[in-house]
Amino acid sequence: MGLDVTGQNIANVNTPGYSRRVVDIAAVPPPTRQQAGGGAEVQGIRAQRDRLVERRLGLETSGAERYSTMAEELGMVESALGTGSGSLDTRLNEFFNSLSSLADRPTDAVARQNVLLQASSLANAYNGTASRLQQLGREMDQRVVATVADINGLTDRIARLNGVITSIPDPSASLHAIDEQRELVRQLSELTDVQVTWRSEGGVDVDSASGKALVIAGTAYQLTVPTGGVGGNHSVALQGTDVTASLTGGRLGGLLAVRDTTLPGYLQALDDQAFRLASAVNTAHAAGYDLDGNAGQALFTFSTAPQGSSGAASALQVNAAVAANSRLVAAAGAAAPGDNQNARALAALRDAPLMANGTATLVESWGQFVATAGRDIQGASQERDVRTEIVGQLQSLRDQVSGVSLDEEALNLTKYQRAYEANARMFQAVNDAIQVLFDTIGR
Amino acid sequence: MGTPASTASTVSLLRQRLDETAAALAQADLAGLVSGEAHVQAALAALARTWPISGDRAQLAAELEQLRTSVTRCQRLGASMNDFLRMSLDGIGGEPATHTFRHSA
Repeated sequence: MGLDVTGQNIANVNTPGYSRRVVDIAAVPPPTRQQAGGGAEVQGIRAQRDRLVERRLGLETSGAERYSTMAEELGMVESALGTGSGSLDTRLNEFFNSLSSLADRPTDAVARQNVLLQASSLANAYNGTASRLQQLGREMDQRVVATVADINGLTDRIARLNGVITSIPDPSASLHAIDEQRELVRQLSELTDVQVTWRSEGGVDVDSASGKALVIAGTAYQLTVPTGGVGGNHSVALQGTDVTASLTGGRLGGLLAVRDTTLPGYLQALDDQAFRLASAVNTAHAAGYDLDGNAGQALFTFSTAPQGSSGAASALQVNAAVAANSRLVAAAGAAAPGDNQNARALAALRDAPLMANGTATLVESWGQFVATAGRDIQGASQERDVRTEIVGQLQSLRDQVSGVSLDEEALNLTKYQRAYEANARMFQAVNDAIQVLFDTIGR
Repeated sequence: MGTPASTASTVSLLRQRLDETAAALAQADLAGLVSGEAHVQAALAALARTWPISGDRAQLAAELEQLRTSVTRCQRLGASMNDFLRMSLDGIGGEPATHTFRHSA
């Protein structure tokens, strides 16, 4: 029997979800205290399926997929922020350069036209960046809908297999169906975080992270995607209740986190910057005089009024009246031709700490924004890598400590335990050293 | 007698040792874990010998940040292994794992 089981294990070494079968051998106690032991007997074939480890694996798989998705989505967001000549910091610098040139030649028509050209370019850069971020949000929303459809497909199949497993009277004959179901549960864990309960009669019940049931016996409860969620996106509902906020794990959790939290945060930061830019430039521009001696008008306007600062980046534009007549650029600080005081004041906004509670210029603020996005990606990637390693580690541990006898298993476990404890003391010592060194160098 | 190693380069060596230990933890490599402890201990002792700190402090700060990332990775993998050992030993009626170290993150 042992050889049969070994052959089956080897044949299925690459089968997804297949659980290694082992032959349980237990010592047979002697009939009386005066006799020797009764040797060993095969107690039966069982799937080596430690349910607690399965739960932990499901949890880590779900977490790894969440952060993998976040890293992937944030990578697209980072690309959408733009680099090189089209990036916002380049456009900001070009705009302020044009104002410096205007200060050198305040009555020059070309210099005036260049200010308008660069202002328009800058407004377009804000519009384009906001538009790309909003488009990414819509695409993520579509992926949320598709992922929910995948989840519903899996829960349907898991429920159907519950029926198959319970209909087979001999438990050892249902092992293949159990393996298939186990693989489906693993796939489901990649899509969302679930709580699995093993049914006494065979098969599994599955709850979502909200605590509401996805599968009970032969019945699957479908997730739905009503419209009208955060930012006009689809929300996710189960049995009539909105469960969007509770879905944090798996691909779905990663998509929702970026779509509903990270991306709106980035858009708000972009809006804040566009709004501050427009306010500061307009205030300075209004304090000056145009070539005809009239007070300056607003240089920037919004195609639709922002709510607070929300919507400012996508609505930013150059005042159509000024754009049509470069004489209206208010370069002078007094109603006298040739004065350049206001052009200098406008150019000086490049170095004004308009952002981050008066601690950063517009260009610095953009740099910090891009760096934040980079850190978010790095954080998600690191978390994904560690969780993926943990999944592999648990699988390796399960394979390496399990023997055909419990004594052998206990011995293996003890060896690992001692090795772990020795290393854990070292980790603590390293942490202490890090703290001492940071204290010493004053960080 | 060679030039004494800077604190930053010794921290870098310690990080490499920790990364090796993390790889052993990730692969459940018992032999790697056993040898890793000795290697980390030796690297820590080497770090103590560089006292007082020498070299570029900004570089040291950067190395320390990387070291912190490595030790956090080790602790996460270690905590996972500890959980596995505890639940397995409990499951087969063995001695429960002792808790000389708990990772709180």
